[in-house]
Amino acid sequence: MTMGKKFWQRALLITLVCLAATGTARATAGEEAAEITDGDCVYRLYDASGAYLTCRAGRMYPGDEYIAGDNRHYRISRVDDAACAAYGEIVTDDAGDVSAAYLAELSSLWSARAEKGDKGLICMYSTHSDESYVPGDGTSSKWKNAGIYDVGEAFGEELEKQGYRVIYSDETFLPHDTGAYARSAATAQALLKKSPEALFDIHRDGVSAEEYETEVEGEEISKVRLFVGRSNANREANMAFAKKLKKAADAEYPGLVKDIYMGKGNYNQELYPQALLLEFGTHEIEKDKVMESTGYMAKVVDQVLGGTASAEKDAGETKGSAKAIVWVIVLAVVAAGVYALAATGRMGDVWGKMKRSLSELTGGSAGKRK
Amino acid sequence: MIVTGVLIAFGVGQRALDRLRLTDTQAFVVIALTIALGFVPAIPLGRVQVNLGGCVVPLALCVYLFVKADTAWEKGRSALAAVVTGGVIWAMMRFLPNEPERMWTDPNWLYGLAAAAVAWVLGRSRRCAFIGGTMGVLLAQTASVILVWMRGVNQPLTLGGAGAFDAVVIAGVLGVMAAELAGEITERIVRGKKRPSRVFRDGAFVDPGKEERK
Repeated sequence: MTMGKKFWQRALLITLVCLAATGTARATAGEEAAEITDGDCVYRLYDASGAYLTCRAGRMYPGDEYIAGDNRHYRISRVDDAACAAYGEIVTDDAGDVSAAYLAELSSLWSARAEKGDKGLICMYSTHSDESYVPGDGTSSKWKNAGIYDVGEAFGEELEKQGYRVIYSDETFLPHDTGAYARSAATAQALLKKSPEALFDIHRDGVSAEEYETEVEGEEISKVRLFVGRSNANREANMAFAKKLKKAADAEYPGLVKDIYMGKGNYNQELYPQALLLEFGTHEIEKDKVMESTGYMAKVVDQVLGGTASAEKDAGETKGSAKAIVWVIVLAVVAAGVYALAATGRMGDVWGKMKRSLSELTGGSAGKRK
Repeated sequence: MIVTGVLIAFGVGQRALDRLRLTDTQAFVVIALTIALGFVPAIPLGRVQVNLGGCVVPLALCVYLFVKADTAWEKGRSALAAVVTGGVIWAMMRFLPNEPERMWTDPNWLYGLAAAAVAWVLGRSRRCAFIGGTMGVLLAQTASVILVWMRGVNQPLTLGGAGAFDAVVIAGVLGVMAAELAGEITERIVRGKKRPSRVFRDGAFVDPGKEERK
């Protein structure tokens, strides 16, 4: 066989594989356009009895988890993509565990906490830099002066009122495509070098306004959804952080935090245990209501980061981080084993090959030289 | 977590650079510089921000590998790999699903696999895989932001901003490792459990059997 024939055979094979992969991914995505059109891909979640629980502007998958406003914890067991419907089974009746003792503890800490000059740094950015609000911005997506930055700035100012230093990156990460999270990851990494208390990715949802309308202390405002990426080594620590925020919100401002959704993907949350995606309202809700919600949310964040329940925080994060490290090591060893098997061709030689490689990597201080 | 990540980056990076025929010292210097300089804030050059560890070090290694290529054909196909991989990665950014929950894997991994696939098409070259992965991501990111600039948005172009864990580095290293793994599997299928007919000597693969026949 000539080199030319080989080349064209490989080129044809690669083209077919790329086409198949792209086609599969797009079919899986269930839509034609690369950019999401708000409202086009809204999945609805039901419980085992068929009662409606929630919806989200994005696909739901088996394994996704949902903690409803009433703290019932569901895990999605079945998805009907044709109907854009998902069905969840209950995991526990009270994921929030807002006990009377906890409420009393929060209350005492809230009143006793002295005003500190500097409570630390909170960093924020907005991966989807086009997200806007139709009532307020005139459209759901703007490439310049997007409404999400007004909300982020308002949230930042409210956090500053609580005594935090805030950096809200005004960088944009356009277009709203596959590379958006990779682009924003660089900014997230740069922000993390400043050792913040928390890292928030500020978004808005793409469902109907009714889903987010609420009343807190007699004021009509927007709810906030907490979103955790479950394909992420820090997922347990991120979830623990989200639960604490919800608990604090439920105690002080019932109805403010809509729910917690743990969906497929990492959303840059693998970078930090205290990283969360916050959905401030939805594209159809009045932007003014969303702006009003930022003050309440800043107070909730302060309750959690301002010294309350610190022992619980440390325990949850340590557990999550330890699990993440174990996962990373297991994946690295499995990958090395697959390569060693391909290189040696025998199961019996895999261990020897891995030991030789370890020896090379460690200058002979570990593993086996020959 | 960071310590674990750095240790694994060192291990995988050393293996990848070893496959590019860098000496242990060279590999150590490249990896150490990538990681250490990755923590230095990006240097602003107008609207472009360049991270030393995530962009300049891998780019310099690409230039070194390109210059060290023995033949014009090897240089040509390395340049071709960069352009073709850049096109494939740009198409992936544009046409694959844009929300993480709908991606079947992290796009950074796909970019590396694309580089390995292109390198395989161009003749199973690890050099092509590294140059293709690294330059491909840089070219695709640049093209993507130029299109944003053309719509009047003054968005900075950050190259290698995530340092050692940026898509630029991941795609280059993963490209080499995937090309190597694909090569090993292909060779294993073709050769079975027989000893390899070619050995690496004096900087090139030679076939001892062929030399004896001569």
